[in-house]
Amino acid sequence: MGLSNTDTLLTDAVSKLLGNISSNELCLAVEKGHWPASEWAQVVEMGLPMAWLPENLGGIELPLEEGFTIARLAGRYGTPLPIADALIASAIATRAKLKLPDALVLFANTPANETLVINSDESISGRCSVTTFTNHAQYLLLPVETSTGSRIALIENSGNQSVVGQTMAGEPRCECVFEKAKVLALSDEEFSDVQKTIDDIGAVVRSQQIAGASEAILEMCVNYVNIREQFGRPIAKFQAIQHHLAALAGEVASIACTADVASLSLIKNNFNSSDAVDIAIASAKVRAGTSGAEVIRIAHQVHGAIGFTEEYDLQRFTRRIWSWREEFGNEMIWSRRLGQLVTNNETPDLWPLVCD
Amino acid sequence: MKTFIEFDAVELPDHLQVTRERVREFLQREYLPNKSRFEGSFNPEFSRLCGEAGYIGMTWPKQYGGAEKSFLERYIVCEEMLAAGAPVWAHWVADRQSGSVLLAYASEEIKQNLIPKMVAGECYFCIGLSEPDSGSDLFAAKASAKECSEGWALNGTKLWTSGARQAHYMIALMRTDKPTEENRRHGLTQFLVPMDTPGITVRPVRNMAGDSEFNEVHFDNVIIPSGNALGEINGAWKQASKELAYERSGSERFLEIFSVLQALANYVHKNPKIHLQEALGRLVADLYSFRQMSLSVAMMLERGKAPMVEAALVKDVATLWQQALPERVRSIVGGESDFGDQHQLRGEIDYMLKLAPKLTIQGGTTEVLRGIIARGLGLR
Repeated sequence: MGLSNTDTLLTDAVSKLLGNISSNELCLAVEKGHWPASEWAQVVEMGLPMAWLPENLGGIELPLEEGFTIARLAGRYGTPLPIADALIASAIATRAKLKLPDALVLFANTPANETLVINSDESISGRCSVTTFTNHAQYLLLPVETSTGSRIALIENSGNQSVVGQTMAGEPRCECVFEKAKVLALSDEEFSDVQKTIDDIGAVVRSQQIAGASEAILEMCVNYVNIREQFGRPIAKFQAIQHHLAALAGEVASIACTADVASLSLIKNNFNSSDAVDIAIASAKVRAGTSGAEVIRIAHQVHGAIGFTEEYDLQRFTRRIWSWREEFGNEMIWSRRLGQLVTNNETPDLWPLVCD
Repeated sequence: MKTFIEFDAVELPDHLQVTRERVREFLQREYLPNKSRFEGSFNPEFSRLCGEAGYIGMTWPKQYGGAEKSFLERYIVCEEMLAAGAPVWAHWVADRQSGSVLLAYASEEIKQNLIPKMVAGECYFCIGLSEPDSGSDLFAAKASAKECSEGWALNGTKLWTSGARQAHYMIALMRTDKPTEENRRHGLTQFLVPMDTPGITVRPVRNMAGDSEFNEVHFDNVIIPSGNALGEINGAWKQASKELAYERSGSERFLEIFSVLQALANYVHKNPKIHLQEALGRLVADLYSFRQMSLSVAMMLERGKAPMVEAALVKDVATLWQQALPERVRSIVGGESDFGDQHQLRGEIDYMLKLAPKLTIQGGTTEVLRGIIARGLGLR
């Protein structure tokens, strides 16, 4: 991938692990409610969910690029585990300076127009919005309102959890309700605009996952058309197929390149927001959403009927792209933000926004 | 798992932002206040100003008047010029690709004679590739060069040659031998042809947008010195790859009709409705992505690679997008009842619609590019 500082040893090790544990069978089992505990244990052993967290907060503090590489690879292998989601939570914990326990910690926001407050006995009652995989999280990070502004709280996820649906990829979507859940830790400083922070980081992580899944799909298509024979020769030899795959490669490259640019932009700004970071993130998520749809369309056309089956490996990547493109703002939301960024300026000069 | 095609994300070094600011100051000083002084996109006066400012041949050796700057710096200068709509086309081909061909393959005498004039913005080039019977199939070229006592004698016709009427020189691809059984690309040679040589006639071909940028160039026993053969005789196919990467991956592939997008932004600024902002934002995101890919190829060139497949890929996705742009802009604003006073936007849409068909043809058609990409993917 294009994040040039990425350590190839790490990439190789993560690829090997995720390649070993990820499969269509495992994805289908997760859809039926299975929690892949032994696979998750291996991922934790390698420290992947804690890659971004500083050592003094319980993490392994890899360079920031590596976290994005892990998200890319999690997409590339279609791993049905909340690796990227745990990374996002750890990024919030890092900014909130909260030490995390050695367990699955996910971030969950509050539903729109609802807030969580801390009771006099240092506990929280209420609920968080429907979030992927929170039924398997032992701990949750939540935004809470205090008299001195928004903070981030860490609680044990021991209340009622109801799985209310699934993502397009068949991963569980869960609402957690808690009654007097003890606040284990609370950020010292005010954490303003949690929603913006989580959207920014989440959108880039999801763009990386979509980039990874798209790369996997491209490879799958190239392999398939070289093996599949019709009319007496591999279908790769037909110009119509070649042009399909050339177009597919263009979409994949644009998703991957823009996701990397947005990652670098966030890193350079230490995960803080700015116009330049906003336009990079928006472009990455818009590109991932729109080109992702084109990747899917072409890949299925090239595969024919087999690609439409449950047993063939393509569908789990297809459905993951559909799922990820909706989360942390889909391409419509980010397009609007981008358009507003342009038109809210005194003069709507596009060029300086695109290149500065 | 292998990755077929990689585009590294480029972080521009800070000093290039200084370059960018200087180009903007230059444009603000010399061009933007007196746009009407510079007629057309092919403007010798503007090219001379660019030459004086050091904006032509920036990467070339100092001994010939170049500045030995990086390709990325040149890239920044070019994209700023195009985004401002500056009339750069007179020196564009010389700066983009002919200069490096001469530096690589021309004699010392030619280099000392021509490169300084090119750097000054006073010597323009055109490229003779297509012919009446060979367009995408370059290796079918028939226009010939035969050795004679005075050097080489050229005969035949080149077609669709942009800027041939104004250019001082053509770099022409001519047949010097028959293709062989094993290699149909064998037998073509590049030549430096002074356009004022007797025997050359140039006829403008008017296009559907009302411009006459391209031409038919006829060679009737045109004699050029033997030293004007560039590189290996019969081996031009080995010399093309880097030149084509420059030609295909540059910012013109997404900025040639940028003004229509800016006109849309101006319109939405005056009519800040959510659905218009959303539609504008989507197009800006596309532009941002293609620029980053193009920049990434510029970095590969900077590092001495010849990214043929990547350049083809950028041109393919960016030109298809650019071609669709006027139609998309039209559908975004076309139903608005207050469109009437937006003369600028209507004018941009109408003109760019007329230019759009050429965008996926010039410099390698979509079909040729996809063939190159498919080969890169291991399909042929």
